[in-house]
Amino acid sequence: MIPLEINNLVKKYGKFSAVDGISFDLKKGEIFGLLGPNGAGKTTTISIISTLEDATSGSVKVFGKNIKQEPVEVKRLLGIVPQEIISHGFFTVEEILKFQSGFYGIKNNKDWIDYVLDKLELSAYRNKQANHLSGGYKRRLLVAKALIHKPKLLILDEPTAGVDIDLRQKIWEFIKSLNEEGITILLTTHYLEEAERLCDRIGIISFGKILQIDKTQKLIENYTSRNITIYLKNPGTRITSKYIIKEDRDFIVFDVPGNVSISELINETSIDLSQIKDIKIREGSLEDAFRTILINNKT
Amino acid sequence: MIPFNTLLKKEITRFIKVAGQSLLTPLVTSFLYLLIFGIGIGEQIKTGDNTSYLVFLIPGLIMMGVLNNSFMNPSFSLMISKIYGDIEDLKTSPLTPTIIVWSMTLAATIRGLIVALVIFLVGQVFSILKFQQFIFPSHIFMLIFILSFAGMTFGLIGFSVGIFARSFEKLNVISQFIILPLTYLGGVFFSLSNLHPFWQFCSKLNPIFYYINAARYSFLNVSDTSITKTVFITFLFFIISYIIALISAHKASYKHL
Repeated sequence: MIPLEINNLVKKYGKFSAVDGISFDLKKGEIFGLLGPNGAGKTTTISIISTLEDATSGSVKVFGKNIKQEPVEVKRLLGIVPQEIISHGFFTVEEILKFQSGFYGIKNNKDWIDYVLDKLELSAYRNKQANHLSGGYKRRLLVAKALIHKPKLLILDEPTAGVDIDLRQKIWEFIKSLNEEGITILLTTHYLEEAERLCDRIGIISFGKILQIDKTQKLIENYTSRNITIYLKNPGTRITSKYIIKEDRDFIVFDVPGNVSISELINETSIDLSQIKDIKIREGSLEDAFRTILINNKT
Repeated sequence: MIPFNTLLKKEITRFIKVAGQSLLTPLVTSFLYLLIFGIGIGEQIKTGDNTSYLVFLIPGLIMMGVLNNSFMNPSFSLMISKIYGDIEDLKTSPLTPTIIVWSMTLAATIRGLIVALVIFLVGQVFSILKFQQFIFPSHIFMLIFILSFAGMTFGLIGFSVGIFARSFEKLNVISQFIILPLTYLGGVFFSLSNLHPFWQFCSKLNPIFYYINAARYSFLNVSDTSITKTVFITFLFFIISYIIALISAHKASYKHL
């Protein structure tokens, strides 16, 4: 069963299309990153999946269930961590999680609540009013709430926005461990380095349209170049190549498409291997691919 | 039933956590009303059937407390949730609009009934001090019925207003400029028999008059209008409020402010 199927989804506010006919699927057990600049339509898409917004047209199915036809069943399968930090007036951390369990029809959820609190290092704050928690702990509480009914699909809208490096790292590790336990994950983030490390596949969205969807490594290969510096034993050796971007007496810098291998480069330049003293490679990053895709789309 | 019970418990817990505002305020205001109007100037006011003004006042104050508090419970709860952002939980969790409406309405009714009990006890203290006797309702089942119905109806109205209001100011407009004047004009402090026939006619167009009249009838066995008509109108008002609340629960955006 496909965890999430989005088909030709459109959301219009008057004449403005926040989401403009996007379609994509999530594969079971993967971490999928939906990346895009501010205002690209990521949060609107997530709001539609979470039923907070109604789509103008198109369909969303979660594990085969249509959100319009079976909203209650869909909500049981979904866990959502919203982008904005939510406060919870009068209640303690534990009360909030008990209420959240009850909303999902779970009466005695103490063991799981204890486990989630422990995993998110919230146990010491269980009797503290949520209002009095720091921003980072409030964000952990949102993750705990989203997990309280053991969802099969977890959607995280910028889960690490505004948190310090240490907590960010812990949240990513926790997300990874949840994924290893079998939860399919859709996330949005502006930390592309972390998305590169974590996501199996990436979808890039801009102005409400999906520009590219592919495996993370494939996107990097197809839309970035590798920066290869070859240090020469004999300074001044003459080498010709269409990939050269900088030449010095001791070294030559090549900008090579991500899908061109080093052996292909060496063949292309006809360098004698015995002339090579050292090689340094800077691989393209997801951030480079992201920029290239957005620039290509503008032109 | 678990989602229903959970939301009900959450709403009750909320008003208990702010008991100073939700329960102590009606205690103080009813005390002041009874002291100033019931004891202070009550001797100079005629009630039409020679009932002491203090005793005449108590049922009206009880009903006023129920109407205000039942209205305020869901409306303020929803407004605060919009500010905090946790209103989204109502929409993104498997709670259905029917569950949301009924659990919030029942919590509102419970708060209204607790406030009614508080005012009733304050009234007993005044009655004992002045007349050395307790006040007992003449029609206890009618009293329970009308207070519960009033609580549910105004809980439903509070829900509909709270789910669409985008600021506390708008809530206050409804509370202070519509419900409060209608409550005062509905006969909390006077009997319709003291009014000119034209104003009697106008008062009978005010639905709140029927709740106050029914509460007074339950205590004093006197009524300014037919009890059958009162029950019919309050029931009709309940049905209309329920339909509006259910439509509101379906249509509302449940969005963070």
